[in-house]
Amino acid sequence: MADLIQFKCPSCGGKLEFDSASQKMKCPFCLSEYDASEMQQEDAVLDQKDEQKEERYDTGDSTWGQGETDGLRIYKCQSCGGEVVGDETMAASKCPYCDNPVIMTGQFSGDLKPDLVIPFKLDKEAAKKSLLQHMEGKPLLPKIFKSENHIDEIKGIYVPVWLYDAQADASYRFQAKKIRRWSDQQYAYTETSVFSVDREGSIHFENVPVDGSEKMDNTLMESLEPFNIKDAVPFQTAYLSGYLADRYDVDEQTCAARANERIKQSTRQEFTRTVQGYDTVTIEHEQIHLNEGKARYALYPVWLLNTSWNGEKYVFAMNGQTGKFVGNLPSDKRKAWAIFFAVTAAVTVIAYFIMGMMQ
Amino acid sequence: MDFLMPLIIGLVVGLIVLFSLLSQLKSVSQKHEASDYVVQNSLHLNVRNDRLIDKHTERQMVRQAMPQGGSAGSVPMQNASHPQSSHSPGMHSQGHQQGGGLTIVDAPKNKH
Ligand SMILES: [Zn+2]
Ligand SMILES: [Zn+2]
Repeated sequence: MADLIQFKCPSCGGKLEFDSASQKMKCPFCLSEYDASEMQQEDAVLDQKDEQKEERYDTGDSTWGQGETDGLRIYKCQSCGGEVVGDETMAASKCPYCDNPVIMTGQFSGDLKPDLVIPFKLDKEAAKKSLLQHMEGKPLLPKIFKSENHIDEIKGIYVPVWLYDAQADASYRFQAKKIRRWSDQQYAYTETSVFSVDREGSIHFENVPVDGSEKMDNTLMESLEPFNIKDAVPFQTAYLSGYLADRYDVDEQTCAARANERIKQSTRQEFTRTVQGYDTVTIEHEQIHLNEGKARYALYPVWLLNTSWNGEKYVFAMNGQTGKFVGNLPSDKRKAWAIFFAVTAAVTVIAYFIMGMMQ
Repeated sequence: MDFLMPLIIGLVVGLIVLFSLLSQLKSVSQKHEASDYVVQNSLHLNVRNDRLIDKHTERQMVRQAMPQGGSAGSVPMQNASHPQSSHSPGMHSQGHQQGGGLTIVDAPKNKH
């Protein structure tokens, strides 16, 4: 059976949780608060285990032994002795019996130890409130959705992400045109000046994130960007107490492709932006070389809200740091057609009269 | 009077309104760029070169009499290296051109 950490309250022995409002470890029983930095000694085990690589993700199946069945891992709650069952990537959770927070140290030891974590800034209530706001002011959202859509589950989860740095060395040739028009009594003139424009140089990118969790939808994660890396702190398991967390299961190399794609697109945009004073600019030749640094492994805070309406599932997500809220909503088809026809008819009639008056 | 033009305007506005309302419901989409992660002022150019490689002028006869449409007479004036000249009939503020069959004497390039 694998190891768990629980953070005990020094005053009453209750289990401490990370409190997003105070950014401290808080005891839900006696309300004592402690700095996360005071809990550092608990994480010593993560580095000790460095030699025991058998618990690493990429060596996988070999030595998990009794604890592992069909991709499931079983842990024993230190508070109540109950069995906590998780999948291969579960790294923090709550005991289903006593509701105490548990953290799976094996998921963070050695190479699996994240470099950074952005602690949760916003709580569950903020997520609920944002869901209501998210449904506000959208005429095509079916009215009953708001009243009937019910939340099946809200979870605060630390999502594993890879952060990439890169310097892009690029060279471009553009064709750019300036167009000048004028006219005299007889003719209208169009003068086109064609330029060949060369640009060469470099640009730096930092901390481009890529979702390292198979379970977490990549598009949803990208929709929650940007996270502010300035709030990131060196990883400590204490920040996970009371939340869910997963460890990565898509590796650094695989995720790099996605980051590079985005970096190249931005490089293209930034270099094109330096070609100014023209009416049209097209790329004739492009060469980008990326010098990548080492990726960092971080955990980003996300509130996930699973809801259902009319037998369909709707997933919403909130950036646990900035509060950015996303999630696609259903549309009222009949109302959409009604608005379309009403607007079209009204504008047509108005345009008809205005054009009639101008004649 | 023509009813087609107002209807087209109406349809265009109707579609714009419809799509903007529908887009309110969609907030999940892929990010294609990394502009949030560009290090400030990290763009350095060591080559910055703009060369004029061609300049050409074309002219179109401006209407003198009543419009009554017809294809525009657009004749490229002398062209150095780019034989194609962009036609953009109707874009000019002075309005319709007179119907075809115009011959325009070429003016030397780069005038005006
Ligand atoms: Zn306590
Ligand atoms: Zn328990």
